Amino acid sequence: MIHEFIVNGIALGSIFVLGAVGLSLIYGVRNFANFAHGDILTLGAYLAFTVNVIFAWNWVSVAPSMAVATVLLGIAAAGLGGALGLRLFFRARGAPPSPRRRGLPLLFLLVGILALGISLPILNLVRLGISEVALPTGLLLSGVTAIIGAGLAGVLFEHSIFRHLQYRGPVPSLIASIGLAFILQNVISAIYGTDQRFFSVSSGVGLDVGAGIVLTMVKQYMIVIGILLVVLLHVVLRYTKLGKAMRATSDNLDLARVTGINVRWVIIWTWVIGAGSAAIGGILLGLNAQVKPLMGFGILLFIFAAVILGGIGSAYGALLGGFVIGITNEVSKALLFRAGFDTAWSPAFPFAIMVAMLLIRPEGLLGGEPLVRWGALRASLSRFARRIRGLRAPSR
Amino acid sequence: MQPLLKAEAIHSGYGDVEIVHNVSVVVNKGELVTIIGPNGAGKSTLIKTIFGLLAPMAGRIWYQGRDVTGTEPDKLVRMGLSYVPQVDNVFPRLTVIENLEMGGFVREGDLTPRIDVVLEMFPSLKEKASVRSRNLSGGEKQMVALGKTLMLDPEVMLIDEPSAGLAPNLVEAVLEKIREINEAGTAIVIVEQNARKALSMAHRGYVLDMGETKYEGTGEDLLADPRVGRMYLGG
Ligand SMILES: Nc1ncnc2c1ncn2[C@@H]1O[C@H](COP(=O)(O)OP(=O)(O)OP(=O)(O)O)[C@@H](O)[C@H]1O
Ligand SMILES: [Mg+2]
Repeated sequence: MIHEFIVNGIALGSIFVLGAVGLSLIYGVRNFANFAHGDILTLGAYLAFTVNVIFAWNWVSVAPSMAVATVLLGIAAAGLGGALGLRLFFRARGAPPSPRRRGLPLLFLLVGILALGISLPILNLVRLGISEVALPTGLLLSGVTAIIGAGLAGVLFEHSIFRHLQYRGPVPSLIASIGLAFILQNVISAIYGTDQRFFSVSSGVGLDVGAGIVLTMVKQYMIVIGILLVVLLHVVLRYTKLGKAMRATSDNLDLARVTGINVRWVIIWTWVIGAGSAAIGGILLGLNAQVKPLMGFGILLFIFAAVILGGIGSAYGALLGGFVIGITNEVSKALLFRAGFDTAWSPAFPFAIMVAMLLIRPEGLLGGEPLVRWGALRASLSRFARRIRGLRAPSR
Repeated sequence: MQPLLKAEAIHSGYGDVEIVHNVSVVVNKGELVTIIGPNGAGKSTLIKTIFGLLAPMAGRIWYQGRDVTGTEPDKLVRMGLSYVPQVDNVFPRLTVIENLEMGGFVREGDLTPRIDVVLEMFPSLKEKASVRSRNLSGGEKQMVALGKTLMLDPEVMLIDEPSAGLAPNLVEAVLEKIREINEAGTAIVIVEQNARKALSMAHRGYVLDMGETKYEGTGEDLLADPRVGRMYLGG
């Protein structure tokens, strides 16, 4: 039975991974912890949900062997897309960021994910014939709408809020992001109500992975998409001009500016990629359980824990951190249950790991830089306190 | 002849505090110009103002006959000006090659030939090509910082204390490199603590103190001036 918890943990961990990737990237180039990141997940889920209730989105039933074949095909398609993209990129290496080339990295990301989504229904078309399969209009439209919508929202937040706070240290941005989180939650509640909603999907056919565990369709997607996205992101960060510029900006924004790197362009793409992957996480979270206004905020601390554990700015760190936090959370449920305790205690375990990590190795398992720069944080806090005191002081 | 770069009666500082008072600097094509002066004299402030990182409170900056006062640093980079900061002048988590690639960010086309040219100028970096620059020695880091800037083959380089914190033999090597770069045709403004060495290789020099120009002249004249020697060259 513990196997089952591990599998659940991996699936849950994938969502943390998808959130952690964006949180970590945005922290890297903008130097603040974005407390609204969970609500970007929620936003993505609601955007997809909106499309989903307008266009019917349904899984198509497949046999386990077919599911495996689908996943393999999806990975192959994504890999092919990625390889093609890389070739283009190597040829374009060093070229100035023209509008056409700027979009490439994200395009590959989307192509990879879409390839996965498309391959499943196509396989079924071949197998079952056209009459039995609904074309996945809803699936594509929901996912793409959510990713693009959340990406645009991220750019909007940057332009309307965070850009104006960028030279005031990490604290004002952080507090603004908490405010933004509450705004998003309440706007969503106002539009959709606070009730739980469900995506209209049939559960599909599970995949028997042995040991008596059957992975639901949603869980299969969660795991594969989580891993795939991290691999793609790693490729983008390592080999593309955008990725290198993102790492350079994250290392030293001022130096990036004087080097001639188009820092605004880097920051905007970071938001698009970060918010886009959060949206994917939100959709999967909603598919796995339900859609509700606090769904993203509720897992924000787990995402933070994943980032701290894995290390800032490292794609594989986010992967590792997300899975460790997810698995620890689920497995501790099993252990608590067996020992006769309430399973509601389970989050204590992943957070204990996070605290231990902060104390022992603040730069995380794979990161190169401490998440919390105590000196900078303290300086910014005292500047903030002075300003507030200044506001309250009677004018002379 | 029109100077390549001219900073005219610059007043600059941070917030309301004026640090640099009425300082003018001229750089002609191919020249090596040195700015010396004690700690806190305002040398870095002056360089940052010329490079558009600080807005001058008064004064103008001219580059190739154009008024570039208030121009953003990334625009200046595209125009052929470049700047090597005093500290934190490489991307620590990027490899040597990646640092060079970022240095060539605004350059069109394939960067590989230019990277080869730059590595040829800094042979010691060749075997460290894929090492993250935070794992390099201080001298190697300075070489990367210079190489990264050379990726664009700039007209003028503003270099702020390249020898700070280096062992004496490395100071020699770094300054020698800078002289080579200058001999290859790039005009250079260098701020230096090793005033004697810097003046001896400079065409012209400025002595800055308390934010004001105290002396200016050819490198030789400044070295020979007993007042400069007493006050700024340690006797
Ligand atoms: N960011 C800043 N904000 C406020 N004041 C500053 C700032 N940077 C420097 N100063 C002040 O400006 C003055 C001149 O500093 P600057 O860095 O230009 O000196 P410098 O001649 O480069 O000295 P050094 O040889 O030590 O590098 C100093 O008094 C310093 O305290
Ligand atoms: Mg200085």
